[in-house]
Amino acid sequence: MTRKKTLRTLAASAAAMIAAGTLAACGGAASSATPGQLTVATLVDVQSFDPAVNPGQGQRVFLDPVYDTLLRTDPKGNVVPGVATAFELTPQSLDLTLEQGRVFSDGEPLDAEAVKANIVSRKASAGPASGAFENVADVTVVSPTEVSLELSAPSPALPIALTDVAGVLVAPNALDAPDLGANPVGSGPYVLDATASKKGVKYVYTPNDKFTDKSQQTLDRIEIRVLTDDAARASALRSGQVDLAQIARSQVEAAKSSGIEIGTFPGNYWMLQFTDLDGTEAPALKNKKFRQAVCTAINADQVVQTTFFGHGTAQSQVFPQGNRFHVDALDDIYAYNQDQARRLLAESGVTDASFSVPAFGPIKPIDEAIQGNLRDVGIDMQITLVQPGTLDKENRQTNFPAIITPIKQVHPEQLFVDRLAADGPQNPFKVNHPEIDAAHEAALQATDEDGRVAAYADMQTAVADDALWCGLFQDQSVVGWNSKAVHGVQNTVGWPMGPSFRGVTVG
Amino acid sequence: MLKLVGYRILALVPVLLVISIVSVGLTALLPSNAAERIAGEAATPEQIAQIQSSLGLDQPWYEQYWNWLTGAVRGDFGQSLIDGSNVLTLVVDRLSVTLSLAVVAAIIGIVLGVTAGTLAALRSGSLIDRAITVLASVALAMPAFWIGLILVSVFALKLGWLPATGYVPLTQNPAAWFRSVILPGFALGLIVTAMLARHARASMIEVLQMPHIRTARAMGLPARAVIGKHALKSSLSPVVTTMGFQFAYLLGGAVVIEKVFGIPGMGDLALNAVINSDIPIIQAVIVTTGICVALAQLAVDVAYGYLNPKVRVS
Repeated sequence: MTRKKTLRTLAASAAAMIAAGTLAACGGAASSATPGQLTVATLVDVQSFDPAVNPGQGQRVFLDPVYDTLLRTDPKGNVVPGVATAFELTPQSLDLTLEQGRVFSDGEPLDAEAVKANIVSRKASAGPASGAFENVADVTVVSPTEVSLELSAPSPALPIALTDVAGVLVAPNALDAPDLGANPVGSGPYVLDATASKKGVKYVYTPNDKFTDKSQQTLDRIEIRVLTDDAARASALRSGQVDLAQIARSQVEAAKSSGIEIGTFPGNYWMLQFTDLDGTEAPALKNKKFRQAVCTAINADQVVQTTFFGHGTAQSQVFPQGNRFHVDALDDIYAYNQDQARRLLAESGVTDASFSVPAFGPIKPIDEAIQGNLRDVGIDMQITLVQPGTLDKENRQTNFPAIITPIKQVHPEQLFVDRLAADGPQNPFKVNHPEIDAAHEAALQATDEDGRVAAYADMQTAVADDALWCGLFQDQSVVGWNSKAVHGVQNTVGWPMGPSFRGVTVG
Repeated sequence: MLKLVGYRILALVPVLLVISIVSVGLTALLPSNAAERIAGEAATPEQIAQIQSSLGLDQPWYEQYWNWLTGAVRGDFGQSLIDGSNVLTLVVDRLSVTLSLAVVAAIIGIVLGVTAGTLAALRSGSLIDRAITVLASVALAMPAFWIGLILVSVFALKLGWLPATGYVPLTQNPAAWFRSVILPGFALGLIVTAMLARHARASMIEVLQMPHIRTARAMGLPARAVIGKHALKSSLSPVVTTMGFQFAYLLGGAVVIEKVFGIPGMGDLALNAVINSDIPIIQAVIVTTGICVALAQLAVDVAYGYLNPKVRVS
């Protein structure tokens, strides 16, 4: 009897604990959207709120609520006015006309002096944005609303660079603040609530009372939560904890089944770049026909289907159809054709048909798919695992003769400066390309935009003819949101982590 | 007992020194540094050198270590190389989350594990015993992250009873805190539950056959007193030892569980710090984790002394 009692006591204790947990659990969990309040989940944390050390692009999701940029892009990727309502680019200068009457959230005027201070500060830093100002010799304040950038060399990519971190405007008094990385001061529609925010966890934004354009300031509160796990992010969206989130491609069907609206946004362009073009490490890569064989053997469409769940578009050149730098003649230059690849390989006369590429985690399946394509035609592409986060570094070094990588360049000039110029950081073997140099020079010297576009087309054609890289595909970012509550979500080109929240409403 | 605690705390000093030196060695093996991360993909060597210099990464490793060590002993773990955040604040903030999760998992593991193990031992050879043994084996075979995903799917997405992700501090809202830790705590604690159940069962069966238990029964003591006062206490010694080792597992396992449940703990902090080569954060995470594990071992020793008077005397 007493032994039974003991057993009952033990069993009751366990049951009580489970019951207590369950009862406490019944307090409700899933929250529904609150009018005027947008809760977002992102894949990665903000690197820094200091635009001088922030890499931009996807990271702009964090910066855009707080900061304005001199220029912006429209949903098609065209450069449109930002704080600068007009701009004129010549080979010698870039003249900007600024919006009148703007102020930063700390009350400082957003005028030509503030713009000059930002450009001088950004150029002096060694961060990702400093390269954009390499050719800026001087900045002159013409009037409170006019500023002129004197150029030491033609800089056709400068306007597009000013839509990203290079063009972000920080209040001058905050430019040298040691805590700018955590406490941004800008002129955007919102301010960061540092008290409610927690680094690496969540960032809370509230309306900037100095911002006057109410069509962009449509929310009472924005909370960006950092949820690095794909499943956790999707679960948070499906359960109503967040209203909008970047969704992993593998989670799309599950999200759709929960009634989540799915939007796809153009993401990164991927290429297989041959860096060892002189054949120092991989002799086969010196041979043009071998490189052409590699490009012809890759079934980019299959890679997109198998590794991106179809969320991407096979694309043989960096710039998609509709973009002014797209070259129609290059659309099918290396269309997938195994027989043709074998022919080119035979014609190349290469005896050691092999080269290696670096890869880690998410890149590896893509490399393996391409490795399979190449193996089918007799080319051996070895994959060497490197530490996560070091692909950029490998692209600047000579450890590998080739690399499969997403790229950040969004203008032919950036492609040249970074990847084609003999001193380009992503031309690690320092290979010269006289024909490409000539086409690039012609683009710089062009007297009108049409002439420049034609010269860049020649440059891209020379790159493709020589198969300096194999254009692969453009991936798509997938963003899901609760469409019953969240409205006004628009495609924002080049923001792989999600759209701008300007003009978005919740209600 | 106080002497024992004092000696163990003093012994922590050289242990932590060794841990900090090893952590410096490990960070030296990182394939890139924070300057390369900050400079961006198209950085020139000059840009990287300029940032390295501004961050002090161009100094010899022993100078960097000495600077760090002299700061650390004063409680100053430095600033994040990436955004200048105070490292101590970050680590303390995140550590409280991870410890909270680990403690909840430990409580779940101890209560359920000891209860199940004792029940199985008292009904040794019965259906209950076999069921508990089989369930414990199954639980040991299931990865914690998979259990976590199943729990989210059922209790958050299907039933809507509990939050799928996130963490609410205990001080902010105790009820919301409990709701935020129960699923991850259970996912993390299930393996501990299984482990402790097996140990508790074996230990209790052994203790129940000891002469002093037979004597107590022969003297007519009620079963509750025999088991609750004498047998349970004697059987807990190996369970406590196991729990000491399991606490280190809980801290490590929390890294995965934090990701599955979107909980901002030490694992998340450490992972981002490694990706960014943010050395001050990495070092602080390693050292504080070492302190936690050492303190857990100390707690085990103290508990062992309480449960086993022989240990106390020696």
